[in-house]
Amino acid sequence: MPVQYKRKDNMKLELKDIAYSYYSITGEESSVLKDLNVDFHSGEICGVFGKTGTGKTTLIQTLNGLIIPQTGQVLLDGEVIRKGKKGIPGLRRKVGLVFQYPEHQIFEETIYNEVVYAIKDTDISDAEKKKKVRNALSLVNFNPDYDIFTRSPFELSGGEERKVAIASVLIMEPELFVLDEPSAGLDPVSRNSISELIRNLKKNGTGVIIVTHDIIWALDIVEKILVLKKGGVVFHGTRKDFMKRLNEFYNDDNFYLPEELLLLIELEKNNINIEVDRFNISSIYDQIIKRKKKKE
Amino acid sequence: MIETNNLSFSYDNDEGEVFILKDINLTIKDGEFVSIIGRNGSGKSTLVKVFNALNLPSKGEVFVDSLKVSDENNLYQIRQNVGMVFQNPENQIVGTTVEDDVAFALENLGVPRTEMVERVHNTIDYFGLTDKKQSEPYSLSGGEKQRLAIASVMAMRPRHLILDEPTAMLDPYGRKQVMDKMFQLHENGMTIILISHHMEEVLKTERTIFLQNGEIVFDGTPEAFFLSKEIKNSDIEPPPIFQLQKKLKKKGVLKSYSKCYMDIVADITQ
Repeated sequence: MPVQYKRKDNMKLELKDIAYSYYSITGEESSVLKDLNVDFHSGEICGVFGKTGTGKTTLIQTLNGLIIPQTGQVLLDGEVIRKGKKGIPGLRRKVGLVFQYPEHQIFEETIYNEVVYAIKDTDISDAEKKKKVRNALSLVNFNPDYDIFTRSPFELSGGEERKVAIASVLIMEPELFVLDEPSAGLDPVSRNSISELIRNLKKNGTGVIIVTHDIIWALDIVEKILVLKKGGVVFHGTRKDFMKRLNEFYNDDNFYLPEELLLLIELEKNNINIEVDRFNISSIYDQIIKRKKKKE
Repeated sequence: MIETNNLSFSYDNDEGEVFILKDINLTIKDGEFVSIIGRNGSGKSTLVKVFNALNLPSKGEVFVDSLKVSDENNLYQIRQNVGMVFQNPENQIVGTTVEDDVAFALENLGVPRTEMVERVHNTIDYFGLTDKKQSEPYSLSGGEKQRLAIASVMAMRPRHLILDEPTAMLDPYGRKQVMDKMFQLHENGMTIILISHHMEEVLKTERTIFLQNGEIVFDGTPEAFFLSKEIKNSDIEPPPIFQLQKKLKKKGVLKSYSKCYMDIVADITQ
Protein backbone atom coordinates (compact mmCIF):
# COMPACT_ATOMS: atom_id res chain seq x y z
CA MET A 1 0.00 0.00 0.00
CA PRO A 2 1.56 3.28 -1.03
CA VAL A 3 2.08 6.13 1.40
CA GLN A 4 -0.79 8.46 0.83
CA TYR A 5 -1.41 12.11 1.33
CA LYS A 6 -4.17 12.91 3.77
CA ARG A 7 -7.41 14.76 3.18
CA LYS A 8 -8.88 16.98 5.83
CA ASP A 9 -12.37 17.98 4.85
CA ASN A 10 -15.07 17.13 2.44
CA MET A 11 -14.89 19.23 -0.65
CA LYS A 12 -17.81 20.11 -2.83
CA LEU A 13 -17.57 21.53 -6.32
CA GLU A 14 -20.80 22.84 -7.80
CA LEU A 15 -21.72 23.99 -11.27
CA LYS A 16 -24.75 26.27 -11.23
CA ASP A 17 -26.83 27.21 -14.29
CA ILE A 18 -23.82 26.85 -16.54
CA ALA A 19 -24.08 27.74 -20.22
CA TYR A 20 -21.23 27.81 -22.68
CA SER A 21 -21.13 28.40 -26.44
CA TYR A 22 -18.36 28.43 -28.98
CA TYR A 23 -18.39 31.04 -31.71
CA SER A 24 -17.02 30.49 -35.18
CA ILE A 25 -15.13 33.18 -37.11
CA THR A 26 -18.34 34.16 -38.83
CA GLY A 27 -19.97 34.68 -35.45
CA GLU A 28 -22.10 31.57 -35.66
CA GLU A 29 -22.98 30.30 -32.20
CA SER A 30 -22.82 26.63 -31.26
CA SER A 31 -24.09 25.94 -27.80
CA VAL A 32 -22.12 23.25 -25.94
CA LEU A 33 -23.42 23.39 -22.39
CA LYS A 34 -26.79 24.74 -21.33
CA ASP A 35 -28.63 24.98 -18.02
CA LEU A 36 -26.17 22.63 -16.46
CA ASN A 37 -26.50 22.03 -12.74
CA VAL A 38 -24.38 19.38 -11.11
CA ASP A 39 -22.15 18.84 -8.09
CA PHE A 40 -19.16 16.65 -7.32
CA HIS A 41 -17.74 15.63 -3.94
CA SER A 42 -14.39 14.48 -2.68
CA GLY A 43 -14.28 10.78 -1.84
CA GLU A 44 -16.75 9.92 -4.58
CA ILE A 45 -16.19 8.27 -7.97
CA CYS A 46 -18.40 9.61 -10.73
CA GLY A 47 -18.57 8.39 -14.34
CA VAL A 48 -19.53 10.86 -17.06
CA PHE A 49 -21.12 9.22 -20.11
CA GLY A 50 -22.43 10.64 -23.36
CA LYS A 51 -21.87 10.68 -27.07
CA THR A 52 -19.02 12.63 -28.65
CA GLY A 53 -19.97 16.28 -28.94
CA THR A 54 -22.30 16.39 -25.94
CA GLY A 55 -20.02 18.66 -23.95
CA LYS A 56 -18.16 16.19 -21.72
CA THR A 57 -14.76 17.72 -22.35
CA THR A 58 -16.10 21.27 -22.05
CA LEU A 59 -17.66 20.28 -18.72
CA ILE A 60 -14.42 19.02 -17.23
CA GLN A 61 -12.50 22.02 -18.54
CA THR A 62 -15.02 24.20 -16.73
CA LEU A 63 -14.31 22.25 -13.53
CA ASN A 64 -10.73 23.47 -13.29
CA GLY A 65 -11.15 26.89 -14.82
CA LEU A 66 -9.71 26.20 -18.27
CA ILE A 67 -13.01 27.37 -19.67
CA ILE A 68 -14.95 30.22 -18.10
CA PRO A 69 -18.65 29.76 -18.81
CA GLN A 70 -20.51 32.73 -20.27
CA THR A 71 -23.36 32.20 -17.81
CA GLY A 72 -23.53 30.50 -14.44
CA GLN A 73 -21.18 29.97 -11.57
CA VAL A 74 -18.60 27.49 -10.34
CA LEU A 75 -18.71 27.15 -6.55
CA LEU A 76 -16.03 25.59 -4.40
CA ASP A 77 -17.40 24.67 -0.96
CA GLY A 78 -20.18 27.19 -1.49
CA GLU A 79 -17.91 30.02 -2.55
CA VAL A 80 -18.12 31.43 -6.04
CA ILE A 81 -14.89 31.11 -8.02
CA ARG A 82 -13.97 34.51 -9.40
CA LYS A 83 -12.32 35.03 -12.72
CA GLY A 84 -8.65 35.95 -12.74
CA LYS A 85 -5.80 35.52 -10.28
CA LYS A 86 -7.94 35.41 -7.16
CA GLY A 87 -10.04 32.40 -8.07
CA ILE A 88 -8.68 30.27 -10.87
CA PRO A 89 -5.22 29.25 -9.53
CA GLY A 90 -6.80 28.08 -6.27
CA LEU A 91 -9.34 26.06 -8.22
CA ARG A 92 -6.61 24.45 -10.34
CA ARG A 93 -4.70 23.41 -7.22
CA LYS A 94 -7.75 21.55 -5.98
CA VAL A 95 -8.94 20.09 -9.28
CA GLY A 96 -6.40 18.00 -11.19
CA LEU A 97 -7.17 17.34 -14.84
CA VAL A 98 -5.66 14.53 -16.92
CA PHE A 99 -6.39 14.89 -20.63
CA GLN A 100 -7.07 12.10 -23.07
CA TYR A 101 -3.85 10.31 -24.10
CA PRO A 102 -1.82 12.28 -21.50
CA GLU A 103 1.32 10.34 -22.52
CA HIS A 104 1.40 12.43 -25.71
CA GLN A 105 2.27 15.42 -23.54
CA ILE A 106 5.35 13.90 -21.92
CA PHE A 107 8.43 15.99 -22.70
CA GLU A 108 11.09 15.65 -19.96
CA GLU A 109 14.17 13.48 -20.30
CA THR A 110 13.81 11.46 -17.13
CA ILE A 111 10.82 10.02 -15.32
CA TYR A 112 11.69 12.02 -12.19
CA ASN A 113 11.82 15.34 -14.06
CA GLU A 114 8.51 14.60 -15.73
CA VAL A 115 6.66 13.81 -12.51
CA VAL A 116 8.22 16.59 -10.42
CA TYR A 117 7.54 19.28 -13.04
CA ALA A 118 4.49 20.90 -11.42
CA ILE A 119 6.25 21.46 -8.07
CA LYS A 120 9.75 21.98 -9.48
CA ASP A 121 9.86 25.73 -8.84
CA THR A 122 8.24 25.71 -5.41
CA ASP A 123 10.25 26.11 -2.21
CA ILE A 124 9.69 22.50 -1.21
CA SER A 125 13.03 20.86 -0.27
CA ASP A 126 14.65 18.40 -2.67
CA ALA A 127 14.22 15.55 -0.22
CA GLU A 128 10.53 16.34 0.11
CA LYS A 129 10.15 16.58 -3.67
CA LYS A 130 11.69 13.14 -4.08
CA LYS A 131 9.34 11.76 -1.50
CA LYS A 132 6.35 13.29 -3.28
CA VAL A 133 7.47 11.88 -6.64
CA ARG A 134 7.81 8.39 -5.14
CA ASN A 135 4.38 8.70 -3.52
CA ALA A 136 2.74 9.78 -6.75
CA LEU A 137 4.39 6.94 -8.67
CA SER A 138 3.43 4.37 -6.08
CA LEU A 139 -0.19 5.57 -6.18
CA VAL A 140 -0.29 4.68 -9.87
CA ASN A 141 1.42 1.31 -9.18
CA PHE A 142 4.45 2.26 -11.23
CA ASN A 143 7.13 -0.43 -11.38
CA PRO A 144 9.43 0.40 -8.39
CA ASP A 145 12.42 -1.34 -10.03
CA TYR A 146 12.95 1.42 -12.59
CA ASP A 147 15.66 3.98 -11.95
CA ILE A 148 13.51 7.09 -12.29
CA PHE A 149 16.51 9.45 -12.22
CA THR A 150 18.16 8.06 -15.33
CA ARG A 151 15.42 6.35 -17.26
CA SER A 152 13.64 8.23 -20.05
CA PRO A 153 9.85 8.16 -20.02
CA PHE A 154 9.97 7.65 -23.80
CA GLU A 155 11.41 4.15 -23.35
CA LEU A 156 8.35 2.98 -21.45
CA SER A 157 5.38 1.03 -22.79
CA GLY A 158 2.16 2.92 -23.55
CA GLY A 159 0.54 1.83 -20.28
CA GLU A 160 3.59 2.82 -18.22
CA GLU A 161 3.84 6.18 -19.99
CA ARG A 162 0.25 6.90 -19.08
CA LYS A 163 0.98 6.10 -15.42
CA VAL A 164 3.86 8.59 -15.43
CA ALA A 165 1.64 11.24 -17.03
CA ILE A 166 -1.07 10.65 -14.42
CA ALA A 167 1.50 10.77 -11.58
CA SER A 168 2.70 14.15 -12.81
CA VAL A 169 -0.79 15.56 -12.13
CA LEU A 170 -1.23 13.60 -8.88
CA ILE A 171 1.88 15.24 -7.44
CA MET A 172 -0.21 18.39 -6.98
CA GLU A 173 -2.34 16.39 -4.54
CA PRO A 174 -5.67 17.49 -6.00
CA GLU A 175 -8.87 16.97 -4.03
CA LEU A 176 -10.81 16.29 -7.17
CA PHE A 177 -9.13 14.27 -9.90
CA VAL A 178 -10.61 14.37 -13.40
CA LEU A 179 -9.59 11.81 -16.03
CA ASP A 180 -10.63 12.08 -19.69
CA GLU A 181 -10.86 8.59 -21.28
CA PRO A 182 -8.23 7.01 -18.99
CA SER A 183 -8.71 3.49 -20.35
CA ALA A 184 -8.61 4.34 -24.07
CA GLY A 185 -6.10 2.28 -26.02
CA LEU A 186 -4.85 0.27 -23.02
CA ASP A 187 -4.55 -3.51 -22.75
CA PRO A 188 -6.56 -5.28 -20.01
CA VAL A 189 -3.65 -5.39 -17.55
CA SER A 190 -3.03 -1.65 -17.80
CA ARG A 191 -6.76 -0.99 -17.59
CA ASN A 192 -6.96 -2.94 -14.35
CA SER A 193 -4.16 -0.93 -12.86
CA ILE A 194 -5.95 2.31 -13.74
CA SER A 195 -9.02 0.92 -11.93
CA GLU A 196 -6.85 0.17 -8.91
CA LEU A 197 -5.42 3.68 -8.93
CA ILE A 198 -8.92 5.20 -8.95
CA ARG A 199 -9.97 3.02 -6.01
CA ASN A 200 -6.79 4.01 -4.14
CA LEU A 201 -7.57 7.69 -4.63
CA LYS A 202 -11.08 7.25 -3.32
CA LYS A 203 -9.72 5.48 -0.24
CA ASN A 204 -7.68 8.51 0.73
CA GLY A 205 -10.61 10.83 0.20
CA THR A 206 -9.96 12.19 -3.27
CA GLY A 207 -12.94 12.65 -5.54
CA VAL A 208 -12.60 11.11 -9.00
CA ILE A 209 -14.46 12.00 -12.17
CA ILE A 210 -14.00 9.68 -15.15
CA VAL A 211 -15.17 10.75 -18.58
CA THR A 212 -15.40 7.58 -20.64
CA HIS A 213 -17.02 5.69 -23.49
CA ASP A 214 -15.88 2.46 -21.88
CA ILE A 215 -19.10 1.96 -19.94
CA ILE A 216 -18.72 -1.69 -18.97
CA TRP A 217 -15.25 -1.02 -17.55
CA ALA A 218 -16.40 2.11 -15.70
CA LEU A 219 -19.45 0.42 -14.15
CA ASP A 220 -17.07 -1.73 -12.10
CA ILE A 221 -15.60 1.29 -10.31
CA VAL A 222 -18.02 4.25 -10.31
CA GLU A 223 -20.60 4.99 -7.62
CA LYS A 224 -22.37 7.81 -9.37
CA ILE A 225 -23.14 8.40 -13.02
CA LEU A 226 -23.76 11.54 -14.99
CA VAL A 227 -25.18 11.24 -18.50
CA LEU A 228 -24.96 14.26 -20.76
CA LYS A 229 -27.04 14.85 -23.85
CA LYS A 230 -26.68 17.91 -26.05
CA GLY A 231 -24.99 19.87 -23.30
CA GLY A 232 -27.50 19.13 -20.56
CA VAL A 233 -27.82 16.55 -17.80
CA VAL A 234 -30.25 13.75 -18.62
CA PHE A 235 -29.26 11.57 -15.70
CA HIS A 236 -27.35 12.11 -12.49
CA GLY A 237 -27.65 9.47 -9.83
CA THR A 238 -26.32 6.26 -8.38
CA ARG A 239 -25.03 3.39 -10.46
CA LYS A 240 -27.95 1.28 -9.23
CA ASP A 241 -30.51 3.81 -10.50
CA PHE A 242 -28.71 4.05 -13.80
CA MET A 243 -28.96 0.29 -14.28
CA LYS A 244 -32.64 0.36 -13.33
CA ARG A 245 -33.40 3.09 -15.84
CA LEU A 246 -31.31 1.66 -18.68
CA ASN A 247 -34.16 1.48 -21.15
CA GLU A 248 -34.55 5.26 -21.02
CA PHE A 249 -31.32 5.43 -23.00
CA TYR A 250 -32.31 2.70 -25.40
CA ASN A 251 -32.66 3.45 -29.09
CA ASP A 252 -31.32 6.90 -28.54
CA ASP A 253 -29.08 8.14 -31.30
CA ASN A 254 -27.44 10.42 -28.83
CA PHE A 255 -26.13 7.73 -26.54
CA TYR A 256 -25.33 4.26 -27.75
CA LEU A 257 -25.24 1.56 -25.09
CA PRO A 258 -22.80 -1.36 -25.33
CA GLU A 259 -24.28 -4.72 -26.33
CA GLU A 260 -23.92 -6.09 -22.81
CA LEU A 261 -26.46 -3.53 -21.58
CA LEU A 262 -28.66 -3.92 -24.65
CA LEU A 263 -28.79 -7.62 -23.74
CA LEU A 264 -30.18 -6.76 -20.29
CA ILE A 265 -32.82 -4.47 -21.82
CA GLU A 266 -33.82 -7.14 -24.32
CA LEU A 267 -34.11 -9.73 -21.54
CA GLU A 268 -36.38 -7.37 -19.62
CA LYS A 269 -38.60 -6.99 -22.69
CA ASN A 270 -38.96 -10.76 -22.57
CA ASN A 271 -39.96 -10.63 -18.91
CA ILE A 272 -36.61 -11.67 -17.56
CA ASN A 273 -35.74 -8.80 -15.24
CA ILE A 274 -32.15 -8.80 -14.13
CA GLU A 275 -31.27 -6.71 -11.11
CA VAL A 276 -27.62 -5.77 -11.10
CA ASP A 277 -25.71 -2.57 -10.46
CA ARG A 278 -23.03 -3.38 -13.07
CA PHE A 279 -22.39 -6.07 -15.70
CA ASN A 280 -21.79 -8.70 -13.08
CA ILE A 281 -21.54 -11.94 -15.05
CA SER A 282 -22.08 -14.40 -12.21
CA SER A 283 -25.06 -12.49 -10.82
CA ILE A 284 -26.68 -12.18 -14.25
CA TYR A 285 -26.06 -15.88 -14.82
CA ASP A 286 -27.65 -16.82 -11.47
CA GLN A 287 -30.73 -14.72 -12.16
CA ILE A 288 -31.24 -16.17 -15.64
CA ILE A 289 -30.95 -19.71 -14.27
CA LYS A 290 -33.45 -18.91 -11.50
CA ARG A 291 -35.96 -17.50 -13.97
CA LYS A 292 -35.57 -20.50 -16.24
CA LYS A 293 -36.24 -22.89 -13.34
CA LYS A 294 -39.35 -20.96 -12.30
CA LYS A 295 -40.77 -21.22 -15.79
CA GLU A 296 -40.27 -24.94 -15.90
CA MET B 1 -7.33 -14.41 -52.56
CA ILE B 2 -4.33 -13.51 -50.44
CA GLU B 3 -1.69 -16.17 -49.92
CA THR B 4 1.55 -16.08 -47.97
CA ASN B 5 4.30 -18.71 -48.30
CA ASN B 6 6.85 -18.75 -45.45
CA LEU B 7 6.64 -14.99 -45.23
CA SER B 8 9.25 -13.34 -43.02
CA PHE B 9 9.84 -9.65 -42.53
CA SER B 10 12.95 -8.31 -40.82
CA TYR B 11 15.20 -5.30 -40.57
CA ASP B 12 18.87 -4.97 -39.66
CA ASN B 13 20.18 -3.03 -36.69
CA ASP B 14 23.47 -3.01 -34.73
CA GLU B 15 22.72 -6.35 -33.13
CA GLY B 16 21.89 -8.08 -36.39
CA GLU B 17 18.65 -9.14 -38.01
CA VAL B 18 15.43 -8.36 -36.13
CA PHE B 19 12.39 -10.39 -37.20
CA ILE B 20 8.99 -8.71 -37.11
CA LEU B 21 7.26 -11.58 -38.92
CA LYS B 22 8.43 -15.19 -38.91
CA ASP B 23 7.31 -17.94 -41.32
CA ILE B 24 3.77 -16.80 -41.86
CA ASN B 25 1.68 -19.24 -43.88
CA LEU B 26 -1.78 -18.01 -44.50
CA THR B 27 -4.56 -18.12 -47.06
CA ILE B 28 -7.39 -15.60 -46.97
CA LYS B 29 -10.15 -16.46 -49.42
CA ASP B 30 -12.29 -13.93 -51.26
CA GLY B 31 -15.20 -12.75 -49.15
CA GLU B 32 -13.81 -13.82 -45.78
CA PHE B 33 -14.23 -11.58 -42.71
CA VAL B 34 -10.99 -11.94 -40.77
CA SER B 35 -9.82 -10.28 -37.56
CA ILE B 36 -6.13 -9.98 -36.73
CA ILE B 37 -5.26 -9.48 -33.08
CA GLY B 38 -2.18 -9.33 -30.89
CA ARG B 39 -0.31 -6.96 -28.60
CA ASN B 40 1.33 -3.77 -29.79
CA GLY B 41 4.48 -4.79 -31.62
CA SER B 42 3.29 -8.30 -32.46
CA GLY B 43 3.48 -7.63 -36.20
CA LYS B 44 -0.19 -7.04 -37.11
CA SER B 45 0.28 -3.80 -39.01
CA THR B 46 3.50 -5.02 -40.63
CA LEU B 47 1.64 -8.08 -41.91
CA VAL B 48 -1.28 -6.23 -43.50
CA LYS B 49 1.09 -3.75 -45.11
CA VAL B 50 2.64 -6.68 -46.99
CA PHE B 51 -0.83 -7.44 -48.39
CA ASN B 52 -0.83 -4.22 -50.37
CA ALA B 53 2.91 -4.11 -51.03
CA LEU B 54 3.66 -1.23 -48.65
CA ASN B 55 6.06 -3.72 -47.07
CA LEU B 56 7.89 -6.30 -49.16
CA PRO B 57 8.75 -9.76 -47.78
CA SER B 58 12.34 -10.26 -46.58
CA LYS B 59 11.92 -14.00 -47.12
CA GLY B 60 9.15 -16.07 -48.65
CA GLU B 61 6.49 -14.77 -51.00
CA VAL B 62 3.03 -13.27 -50.91
CA PHE B 63 0.44 -13.45 -53.68
CA VAL B 64 -2.55 -11.16 -53.98
CA ASP B 65 -5.05 -12.48 -56.51
CA SER B 66 -2.15 -14.58 -57.89
CA LEU B 67 0.05 -11.49 -58.29
CA LYS B 68 3.47 -11.63 -56.65
CA VAL B 69 3.87 -8.64 -54.30
CA SER B 70 7.64 -8.53 -54.74
CA ASP B 71 7.30 -8.00 -58.50
CA GLU B 72 7.36 -4.27 -59.10
CA ASN B 73 5.22 -4.61 -62.24
CA ASN B 74 2.32 -5.80 -60.07
CA LEU B 75 2.42 -2.88 -57.66
CA TYR B 76 -0.24 -0.77 -59.35
CA GLN B 77 -2.72 -3.64 -59.72
CA ILE B 78 -2.18 -4.86 -56.14
CA ARG B 79 -2.77 -1.41 -54.64
CA GLN B 80 -5.90 -1.19 -56.76
CA ASN B 81 -7.15 -4.56 -55.46
CA VAL B 82 -6.34 -4.01 -51.80
CA GLY B 83 -7.81 -0.94 -50.11
CA MET B 84 -6.43 0.17 -46.77
CA VAL B 85 -7.95 2.29 -44.00
CA PHE B 86 -5.92 3.42 -40.98
CA GLN B 87 -6.69 4.26 -37.36
CA ASN B 88 -6.81 8.02 -37.66
CA PRO B 89 -9.09 9.15 -40.49
CA GLU B 90 -7.58 12.64 -40.37
CA ASN B 91 -4.32 11.26 -41.69
CA GLN B 92 -5.91 10.10 -44.91
CA ILE B 93 -8.52 12.72 -45.71
CA VAL B 94 -7.10 15.06 -48.35
CA GLY B 95 -10.08 16.77 -50.00
CA THR B 96 -11.47 20.17 -49.03
CA THR B 97 -15.02 18.82 -49.19
CA VAL B 98 -16.45 15.34 -48.71
CA GLU B 99 -17.11 15.12 -52.45
CA ASP B 100 -13.56 16.20 -53.33
CA ASP B 101 -12.07 13.65 -50.98
CA VAL B 102 -13.95 10.75 -52.54
CA ALA B 103 -13.08 12.04 -56.04
CA PHE B 104 -9.38 12.49 -55.29
CA ALA B 105 -8.14 8.97 -56.00
CA LEU B 106 -10.48 8.52 -58.97
CA GLU B 107 -9.09 11.65 -60.57
CA ASN B 108 -5.57 10.33 -60.10
CA LEU B 109 -6.57 7.00 -61.58
CA GLY B 110 -7.83 8.83 -64.66
CA VAL B 111 -11.43 7.67 -64.39
CA PRO B 112 -13.48 9.51 -67.08
CA ARG B 113 -15.37 12.49 -65.69
CA THR B 114 -18.96 11.26 -66.14
CA GLU B 115 -18.13 7.92 -64.58
CA MET B 116 -16.25 9.63 -61.78
CA VAL B 117 -19.18 11.87 -60.85
CA GLU B 118 -21.50 8.89 -60.80
CA ARG B 119 -19.16 6.80 -58.67
CA VAL B 120 -18.54 9.63 -56.22
CA HIS B 121 -22.25 10.18 -55.69
CA ASN B 122 -23.08 6.51 -55.38
CA THR B 123 -20.31 5.95 -52.87
CA ILE B 124 -21.28 8.96 -50.76
CA ASP B 125 -24.92 7.79 -50.72
CA TYR B 126 -23.88 4.27 -49.80
CA PHE B 127 -21.91 5.53 -46.81
CA GLY B 128 -24.76 7.70 -45.59
CA LEU B 129 -22.98 11.01 -46.18
CA THR B 130 -25.42 12.42 -48.75
CA ASP B 131 -26.27 15.46 -46.59
CA LYS B 132 -22.59 16.16 -46.06
CA LYS B 133 -21.47 16.15 -49.71
CA GLN B 134 -20.43 19.80 -49.65
CA SER B 135 -19.24 19.80 -46.02
CA GLU B 136 -15.64 20.37 -45.10
CA PRO B 137 -14.24 17.11 -43.70
CA TYR B 138 -13.07 18.73 -40.44
CA SER B 139 -16.68 19.55 -39.55
CA LEU B 140 -17.67 15.86 -39.53
CA SER B 141 -17.92 13.73 -36.39
CA GLY B 142 -15.30 11.02 -35.79
CA GLY B 143 -17.61 8.27 -37.06
CA GLU B 144 -18.46 10.29 -40.16
CA LYS B 145 -14.78 11.02 -40.85
CA GLN B 146 -13.91 7.34 -40.64
CA ARG B 147 -16.82 6.48 -42.94
CA LEU B 148 -15.53 9.10 -45.37
CA ALA B 149 -12.06 7.53 -45.25
CA ILE B 150 -13.56 4.13 -46.01
CA ALA B 151 -15.77 5.64 -48.74
CA SER B 152 -12.77 7.24 -50.46
CA VAL B 153 -10.99 3.89 -50.50
CA MET B 154 -14.12 2.04 -51.64
CA ALA B 155 -14.67 4.43 -54.55
CA MET B 156 -11.59 2.84 -56.11
CA ARG B 157 -13.51 -0.47 -56.05
CA PRO B 158 -10.94 -2.67 -54.33
CA ARG B 159 -11.60 -6.41 -53.99
CA HIS B 160 -10.25 -6.59 -50.48
CA LEU B 161 -10.49 -4.05 -47.67
CA ILE B 162 -7.99 -3.86 -44.83
CA LEU B 163 -8.84 -1.79 -41.76
CA ASP B 164 -6.12 -1.14 -39.17
CA GLU B 165 -7.89 -0.32 -35.89
CA PRO B 166 -10.49 1.80 -37.67
CA THR B 167 -12.62 2.29 -34.54
CA ALA B 168 -9.87 2.97 -31.99
CA MET B 169 -10.56 6.69 -31.88
CA LEU B 170 -14.35 6.54 -32.08
CA ASP B 171 -17.10 6.58 -29.48
CA PRO B 172 -19.45 3.57 -29.22
CA TYR B 173 -21.93 5.14 -31.63
CA GLY B 174 -19.26 5.94 -34.21
CA ARG B 175 -17.90 2.41 -33.79
CA LYS B 176 -21.30 0.93 -34.46
CA GLN B 177 -21.69 3.03 -37.61
CA VAL B 178 -18.33 1.84 -38.96
CA MET B 179 -18.92 -1.80 -37.95
CA ASP B 180 -22.36 -1.78 -39.62
CA LYS B 181 -20.75 -0.61 -42.86
CA MET B 182 -18.15 -3.37 -42.63
CA PHE B 183 -20.89 -6.00 -42.28
CA GLN B 184 -22.75 -4.56 -45.22
CA LEU B 185 -19.63 -4.67 -47.40
CA HIS B 186 -18.92 -8.21 -46.24
CA GLU B 187 -22.48 -9.31 -47.14
CA ASN B 188 -21.87 -7.94 -50.61
CA GLY B 189 -18.90 -10.24 -50.96
CA MET B 190 -15.99 -8.00 -50.02
CA THR B 191 -13.00 -9.53 -48.23
CA ILE B 192 -12.58 -7.69 -44.90
CA ILE B 193 -9.41 -7.87 -42.84
CA LEU B 194 -9.81 -6.06 -39.53
CA ILE B 195 -7.11 -5.31 -36.98
CA SER B 196 -8.75 -4.60 -33.64
CA HIS B 197 -8.16 -4.53 -29.89
CA HIS B 198 -11.88 -4.60 -29.22
CA MET B 199 -12.88 -8.20 -28.51
CA GLU B 200 -16.59 -7.39 -29.02
CA GLU B 201 -15.70 -6.54 -32.63
CA VAL B 202 -13.51 -9.62 -33.01
CA LEU B 203 -16.43 -11.80 -31.89
CA LYS B 204 -18.43 -10.51 -34.86
CA THR B 205 -15.90 -11.68 -37.46
CA GLU B 206 -15.70 -15.17 -38.98
CA ARG B 207 -12.08 -15.96 -38.41
CA THR B 208 -9.47 -14.77 -35.92
CA ILE B 209 -5.72 -14.77 -36.41
CA PHE B 210 -3.72 -14.22 -33.23
CA LEU B 211 -0.14 -13.01 -33.62
CA GLN B 212 2.53 -13.22 -30.93
CA ASN B 213 6.06 -11.99 -31.56
CA GLY B 214 5.56 -12.14 -35.31
CA GLU B 215 4.18 -15.66 -35.42
CA ILE B 216 0.67 -17.00 -35.88
CA VAL B 217 -0.22 -18.80 -32.66
CA PHE B 218 -3.94 -19.20 -33.35
CA ASP B 219 -6.05 -19.31 -36.51
CA GLY B 220 -9.71 -20.27 -36.17
CA THR B 221 -13.16 -18.94 -35.29
CA PRO B 222 -13.29 -16.16 -32.68
CA GLU B 223 -15.47 -18.41 -30.51
CA ALA B 224 -12.79 -21.12 -30.58
CA PHE B 225 -10.17 -18.47 -29.80
CA PHE B 226 -12.07 -17.26 -26.74
CA LEU B 227 -12.09 -20.85 -25.45
CA SER B 228 -8.49 -21.63 -26.42
CA LYS B 229 -5.41 -22.18 -24.28
CA GLU B 230 -3.70 -19.44 -26.31
CA ILE B 231 -6.01 -16.76 -24.92
CA LYS B 232 -5.55 -18.17 -21.39
CA ASN B 233 -1.80 -17.73 -21.76
CA SER B 234 -2.18 -14.15 -22.98
CA ASP B 235 -3.45 -11.01 -21.29
CA ILE B 236 -6.49 -10.84 -23.58
CA GLU B 237 -9.90 -11.47 -22.09
CA PRO B 238 -12.99 -12.64 -23.99
CA PRO B 239 -15.67 -9.93 -24.17
CA PRO B 240 -18.04 -10.00 -21.15
CA ILE B 241 -20.95 -10.99 -23.38
CA PHE B 242 -19.03 -14.10 -24.46
CA GLN B 243 -18.05 -14.94 -20.87
CA LEU B 244 -21.72 -14.92 -19.93
CA GLN B 245 -22.60 -17.13 -22.91
CA LYS B 246 -19.89 -19.60 -21.94
CA LYS B 247 -21.42 -20.08 -18.48
CA LEU B 248 -24.95 -20.34 -19.86
CA LYS B 249 -23.92 -22.83 -22.51
CA LYS B 250 -22.15 -25.03 -19.98
CA LYS B 251 -25.40 -25.17 -18.01
CA GLY B 252 -27.34 -26.01 -21.17
CA VAL B 253 -29.36 -22.76 -21.20
CA LEU B 254 -27.81 -21.80 -24.53
CA LYS B 255 -27.62 -24.22 -27.43
CA SER B 256 -24.89 -22.36 -29.26
CA TYR B 257 -22.79 -19.22 -29.23
CA SER B 258 -24.22 -16.10 -30.87
CA LYS B 259 -22.56 -13.01 -32.24
CA CYS B 260 -25.49 -10.70 -31.48
CA TYR B 261 -27.30 -10.05 -28.19
CA MET B 262 -30.71 -10.45 -29.86
CA ASP B 263 -29.88 -14.05 -30.78
CA ILE B 264 -28.71 -14.76 -27.24
CA VAL B 265 -32.04 -13.57 -25.81
CA ALA B 266 -33.95 -15.59 -28.43
CA ASP B 267 -31.97 -18.68 -27.46
CA ILE B 268 -32.59 -18.12 -23.72
CA THR B 269 -36.32 -17.50 -24.04
CA GLN B 270 -37.01 -20.36 -26.44
